[in-house]
Amino acid sequence: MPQASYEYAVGRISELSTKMLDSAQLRRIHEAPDEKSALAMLLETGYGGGISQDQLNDTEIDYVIRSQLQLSRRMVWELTPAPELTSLFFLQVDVHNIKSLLKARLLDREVPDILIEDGALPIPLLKDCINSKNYEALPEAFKRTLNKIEAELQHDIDPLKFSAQIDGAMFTHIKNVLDQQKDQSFVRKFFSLSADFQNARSVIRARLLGWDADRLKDLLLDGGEIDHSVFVESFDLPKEQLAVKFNRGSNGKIISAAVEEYVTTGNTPILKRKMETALMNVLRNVKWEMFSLGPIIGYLMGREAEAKALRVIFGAKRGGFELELPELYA
Amino acid sequence: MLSLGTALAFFGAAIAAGLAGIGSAMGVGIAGQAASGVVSEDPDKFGSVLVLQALPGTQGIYGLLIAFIIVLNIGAIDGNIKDLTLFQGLSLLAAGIPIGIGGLMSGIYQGKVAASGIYLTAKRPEEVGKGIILTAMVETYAVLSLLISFIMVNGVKF
Repeated sequence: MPQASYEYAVGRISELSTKMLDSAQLRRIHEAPDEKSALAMLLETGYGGGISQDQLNDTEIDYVIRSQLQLSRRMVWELTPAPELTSLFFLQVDVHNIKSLLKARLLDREVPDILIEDGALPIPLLKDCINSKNYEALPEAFKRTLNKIEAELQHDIDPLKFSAQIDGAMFTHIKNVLDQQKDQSFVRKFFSLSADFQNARSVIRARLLGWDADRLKDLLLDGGEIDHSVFVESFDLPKEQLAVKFNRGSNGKIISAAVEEYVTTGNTPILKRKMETALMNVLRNVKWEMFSLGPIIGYLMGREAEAKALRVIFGAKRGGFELELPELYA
Repeated sequence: MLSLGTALAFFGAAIAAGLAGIGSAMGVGIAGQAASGVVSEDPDKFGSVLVLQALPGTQGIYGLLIAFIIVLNIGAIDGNIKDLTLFQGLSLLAAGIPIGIGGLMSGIYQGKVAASGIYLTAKRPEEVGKGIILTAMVETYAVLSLLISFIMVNGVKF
């Protein structure tokens, strides 16, 4: 039976980390002559938990990736000595499920295939809540936001808005949990950097799409170190001044450098790339803190990044476009 | 009835064996949990991690050695317990302290380094030797504590 100790958990994670794919292996998979060979090379590494190619059709890479992610998430759930903090890293799964179920209800459809198991909130609970429009069983931030969305849906359906509101609820919930736990570890740093970076990206996106400041306010996430007023005030500034405006708090320097590069190059995707690198660096900094949550979360997020890289590789092979690997942990 | 000096000498032996034993137990426990984690994923690494797990166990032996010399000197082994003066008792109590505290702290920290060595072995099995060397470095301070306790015990005249 697993023991809830960091020593045991990090021991297992250290061993499991050796099975993660590094960039050299991913490049070799990308260089395979066709998709079938690439899939065979991937399965040879043991990825997917021992699935054989006979069990698969040529195009079932998504099934393999989902199997591996499910294994990794379950392993982390089983091992973590700090489930409250660890659950925060699973909320993306819940947010995906909530959005899918809500959209399915609005479109009057079933969505069994796109729901992801192993989030922090069980799928049957989410289904019950969304179908009955009763959110009492959910955490406070989700309950409040989903009730608000239900009220708004009586008048208008704006998928982008409710998607942003659910993302916002996730960050509010994260902030609430971190405050309750009085956490000052890398977990707070990770989510505050993520919130600040995404808020900065929202300002730039809103400016490019010509949105008004009120719409921007709906997109701003809680839990960052930079006050929301800074982002709202920066809405009307010349873009050359954005980097200086965002340079506040301990996250400001990284965000400012990324925005500076965007202003110089005009390359919007660079912001996302820089955000992924900065977040991965937060996890890399705690990779060797052996008696902490650092290596456990690093493994989980490393597996998520690896899955993203595989989707990019197989997408690039299918679509014939140039490969740009996302940031990896290993 | 025991004299105060003899009771203090017993207390010195208890500190030496007890604290150093606690240090070893904690160190071996820390390394053991790390080793269990690694072995549960790869049972073939049992041999390598066992060596690392065992290293923090030496402090308990050092503490036992000093405790044994103290109780031997006061005649507790053969049943002829000596009446020690207060000064002799205090001296033997003081002699037990270095290995007691040194063993306690070095045992815990050696356990942590051993656990890190076990993680190193999990990731790079060929580097197990380096893990053992790094863990053995902590042993130096347990040996220094043992040395000073040994000199102090032998310095007490009866």
